[in-house]
Amino acid sequence: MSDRALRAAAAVLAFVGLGIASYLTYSHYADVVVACTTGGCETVLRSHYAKIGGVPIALFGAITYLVILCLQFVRSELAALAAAAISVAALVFALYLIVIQVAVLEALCQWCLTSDAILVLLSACTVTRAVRLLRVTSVPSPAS
Amino acid sequence: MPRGYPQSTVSVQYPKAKPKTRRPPGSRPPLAERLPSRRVLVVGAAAMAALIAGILIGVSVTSGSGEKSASGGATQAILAGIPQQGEALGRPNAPVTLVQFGDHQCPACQYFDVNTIPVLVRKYVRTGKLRIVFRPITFIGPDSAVGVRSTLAAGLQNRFWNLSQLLYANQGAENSGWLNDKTVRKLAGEIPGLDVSRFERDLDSDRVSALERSAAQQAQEIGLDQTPTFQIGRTNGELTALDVSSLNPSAFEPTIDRLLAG
Repeated sequence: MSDRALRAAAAVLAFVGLGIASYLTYSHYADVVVACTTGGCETVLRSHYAKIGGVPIALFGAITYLVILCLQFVRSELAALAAAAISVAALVFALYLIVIQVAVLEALCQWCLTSDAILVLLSACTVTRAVRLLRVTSVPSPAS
Repeated sequence: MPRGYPQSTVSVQYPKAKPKTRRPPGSRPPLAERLPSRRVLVVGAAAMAALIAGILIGVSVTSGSGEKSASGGATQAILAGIPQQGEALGRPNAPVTLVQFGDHQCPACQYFDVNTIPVLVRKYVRTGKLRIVFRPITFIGPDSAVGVRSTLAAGLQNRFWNLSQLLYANQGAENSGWLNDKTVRKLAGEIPGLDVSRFERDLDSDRVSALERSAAQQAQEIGLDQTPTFQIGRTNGELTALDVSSLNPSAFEPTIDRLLAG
């Protein structure tokens, strides 16, 4: 998969993630019940764990996806590395939230799980890109 | 033979020039030439990722446990705009009724009221599908009676749930003395639309005593042996005991959905 294709895939994934996070943020502030087939969305989204300092995690998620999306349009190795670091950090936090859903709240939120799946793919794309760029740009050992 | 320097037998070797990689004009040097090393970058990025995730998880765990003691605004916002009739919350003609026998000193009741009531209210009560009736009882200890009488007195002004939720938000240890007249009066003063002087008169009224006896009698009839205890059924129909596996919304939703479907 070429670098261009990886960037495109990451951008599309970040855009979809941004859409989900924006919907959940909207539902929080507009006080509407989210569409849900797993039955546990409200339980998860209204729990104490769905907020940090009174701010819904969905809003943090939307900002994160937006930043990763923007980084895909910056032609720099550092941007690629930053996108990888941010997406991996988000993935680790998402894994913690899955544990909370299963072990503490005993409820699953389909939107959160979809976002988690996107984060897995997004991390794969951004990390692959970062690793490749670092390999390519490393100095070759001088020929003797 | 011309004189000159003797021919040297030692050959001098000058250091070779470092080979340069060719780049198209105008292009930037690769990252690894501009920054210390690949290893530093990777370690830095990994450390940044770990730091961000660690901070988020740490703050989440901390705020998750801290919000349980939230008072006032949040609990009242949950109830805003929902009709109350005495101890009942929700539209009187909602198709399903859930009855909760609870004690305001009971930690499990607090867990239910703080974590699950808001979800059920949003999903079912606010949408007119469910009404929740609270039967306050003295179960944990004598102080619980203060909670019973005060919430029933607030219920005479259709503010039962406002005070009940405030008591749970400010709950202390069982029988530690936190549930007293002073606390109740202070919290009652925070409830919008509650006539506090009338509330104080009602606290010792026969009407509240009658409601208190009625709730205790119903608890006795069902053989209540723990709080919270639940009953559920179609409104104005027969109520049956609801044994739940947990106090989370997921333990209640299937039964409510089934009754709504039927």
